Amino acid sequence: MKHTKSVWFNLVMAVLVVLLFVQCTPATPAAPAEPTKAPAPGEATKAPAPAEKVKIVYWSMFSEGEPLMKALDQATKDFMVEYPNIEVETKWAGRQVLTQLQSAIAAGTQVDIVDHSDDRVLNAIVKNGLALPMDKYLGEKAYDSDKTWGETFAPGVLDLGKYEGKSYLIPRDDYISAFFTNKAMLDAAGVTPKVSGMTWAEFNTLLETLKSKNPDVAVLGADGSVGFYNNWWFSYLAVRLAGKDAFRDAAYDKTGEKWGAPEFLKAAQMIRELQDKGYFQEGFEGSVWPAAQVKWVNGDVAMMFMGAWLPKEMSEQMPQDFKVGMFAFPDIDGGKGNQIVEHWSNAYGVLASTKNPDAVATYLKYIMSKKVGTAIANLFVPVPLEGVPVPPALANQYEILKTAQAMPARAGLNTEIPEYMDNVFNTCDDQFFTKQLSPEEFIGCLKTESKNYWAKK
Amino acid sequence: MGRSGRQRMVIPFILPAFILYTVFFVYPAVQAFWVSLHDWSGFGQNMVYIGLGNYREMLKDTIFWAAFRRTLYISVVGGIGIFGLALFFAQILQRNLFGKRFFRSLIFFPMVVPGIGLGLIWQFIYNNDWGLLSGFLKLVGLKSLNLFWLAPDHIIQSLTVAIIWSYVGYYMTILLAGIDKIPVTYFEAAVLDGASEWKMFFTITLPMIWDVFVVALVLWIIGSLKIFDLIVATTFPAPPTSTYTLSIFIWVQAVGAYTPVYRLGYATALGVVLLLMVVISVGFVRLVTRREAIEY
Repeated sequence: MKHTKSVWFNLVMAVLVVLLFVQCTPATPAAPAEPTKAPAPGEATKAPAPAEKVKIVYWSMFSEGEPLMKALDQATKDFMVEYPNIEVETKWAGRQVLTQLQSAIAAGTQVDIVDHSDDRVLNAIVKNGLALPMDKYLGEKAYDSDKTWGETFAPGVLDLGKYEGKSYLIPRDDYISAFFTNKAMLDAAGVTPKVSGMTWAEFNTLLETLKSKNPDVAVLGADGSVGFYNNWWFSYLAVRLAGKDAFRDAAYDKTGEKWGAPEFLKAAQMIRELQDKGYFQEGFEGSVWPAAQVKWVNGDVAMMFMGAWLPKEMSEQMPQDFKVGMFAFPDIDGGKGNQIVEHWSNAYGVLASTKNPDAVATYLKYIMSKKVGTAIANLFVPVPLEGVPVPPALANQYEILKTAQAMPARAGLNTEIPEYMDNVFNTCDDQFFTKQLSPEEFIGCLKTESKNYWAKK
Repeated sequence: MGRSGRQRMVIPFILPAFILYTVFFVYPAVQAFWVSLHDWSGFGQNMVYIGLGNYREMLKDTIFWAAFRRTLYISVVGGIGIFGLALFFAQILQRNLFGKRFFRSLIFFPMVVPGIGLGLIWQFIYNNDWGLLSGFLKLVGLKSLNLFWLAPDHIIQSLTVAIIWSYVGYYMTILLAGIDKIPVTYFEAAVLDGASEWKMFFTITLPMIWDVFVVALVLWIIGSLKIFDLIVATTFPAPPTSTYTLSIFIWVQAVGAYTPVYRLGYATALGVVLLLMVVISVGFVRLVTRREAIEY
């Protein structure tokens, strides 16, 4: 009997050990597919269709039924008619697409293209060495232009998808952050903000004028529940006052002491001053998205600082006669980082494991063509392609970009050190912006938590 | 058949369940522990072994400890609220009241609504401008009691109230199932002896449903430590840091909310700690609630 027991025991243990061994042995990473040799300049005229039918798989950040999903779905169907040898299988995975991609990669599921905001795609696949550089294809002829594909993009926008000198991401829609106003309300108050280059003093005058002319209206709206929105205020002012490099240096400072520079405290004090003057709507600290935005379109809030997706996001709730104004974050006299604007995109990334890189590029060239770009822009989405109309509410986005220096979200820190930004910067800033910390305590929080964070690393 | 023969007979019957349990629970748990020993984004195979590094980091992580405290707050305060109300309602609804079934269904109703729906309902209730709660307080002249319910100072308390409201019906139903099985003669005898309602509750009802109560308590502890959807839905699209519970913190570290953190190794270590918390809490509750079974 003892013998039988030990046989059973050994059998079960053997199964367990084998299972563990199989799982714990690191799988060999899939070798990146070798891109085909680049043609000489001018050689390529039209994207060639593959001789045999191939299938490419696109996992989308959009969910079934979203307007942009419908536009992309239609474009994909049209593409397959035009290129019958390329089948595009789409999965409308929604905003958690990259979470699903984690499992897909682990399971070896074929995924060729994913899309999301550039910082997410960069962190998910590019920084992990899983993405295919697109430089070769950007140098080829575009779908419906005589220019190279790369030349059809708005100046500078491809830089958003560069990593270590190579272009990985193909931006589909691009955004800046700016003030969005109820234009009619500002017109009625007799104020016309400069699109860019407004000084902080002028901005304060504008706020005071709006407040005196519309005592029942909050001049500024904010949904304090969204940390990503809250920390725009401090990061912009910190960059304006101290400069982009000083802001970045402070975040990377292992001692945390660089946050003690007077410019950062000044930036925090300027925000608190705006809050203390009652410019933000009452209870903004506990306002849950999209409550403040709804107030804005309902005329209870005059303006909001937000990403350029705002007009599109609120388009269904907007009264028909609602006019959107837009201007850049004000400059500060003597500031070291004036005329800088955050600029980012929702972008496509191609998995290096794709077996059909040429077909993928053909598909993306088609999607990022003037024809499809125009269909997307008609949904009030800004598309950074030459010749594609700009949604009227966002005309100033490109005006601002003409004069301002673009920087990625939070001076690039969201992409480079997202964990620091989430666990240190956002955590301290959230408490400050919602008035749980004074400006001095906020700076103290940044110093202490930065030191703790870097000590852990 | 001798003892050893019976044991041999048992093994083939146990084995399928044992293998299933091993493959679908023990093995993933061991695998999770293995992953938790790595620095890993979750993308690709680039796992860097760091031993107990993630656990050491956790000890110094102020956000983890804040999330830990919030989780315990919800578990303890929410548990007191839920079981206090569940016992109260169960005690009332065990009687032959008019509309008993209707009220039982009404109190149970939140359980049939998905967490996402409940979150949206509570977002509506807590809205300061047009929300139900603020509107009611203004209507009855108690405007001074109107708070910014979802501001960082009050949000966990507000969410705990929402959680109590959502779960009280579920636990009431479990307790009622126990109460309904107590022979009515016990209560009749107690009434004849002049026992008060309190006396009957503490000397008849509670002792006789003790095993049901403990099971319900264990279920609540497991559920409360993992609570996620209602909080995320109430604060959609990005739960503020003031609402991070352990499960939300795990989610944020694994896949990021607005900032692409992607630390699956660290998130898995947090998950292992959460699992240990569940095991320890349940073990502790079983220990302190151990009593002799009453049979009737």
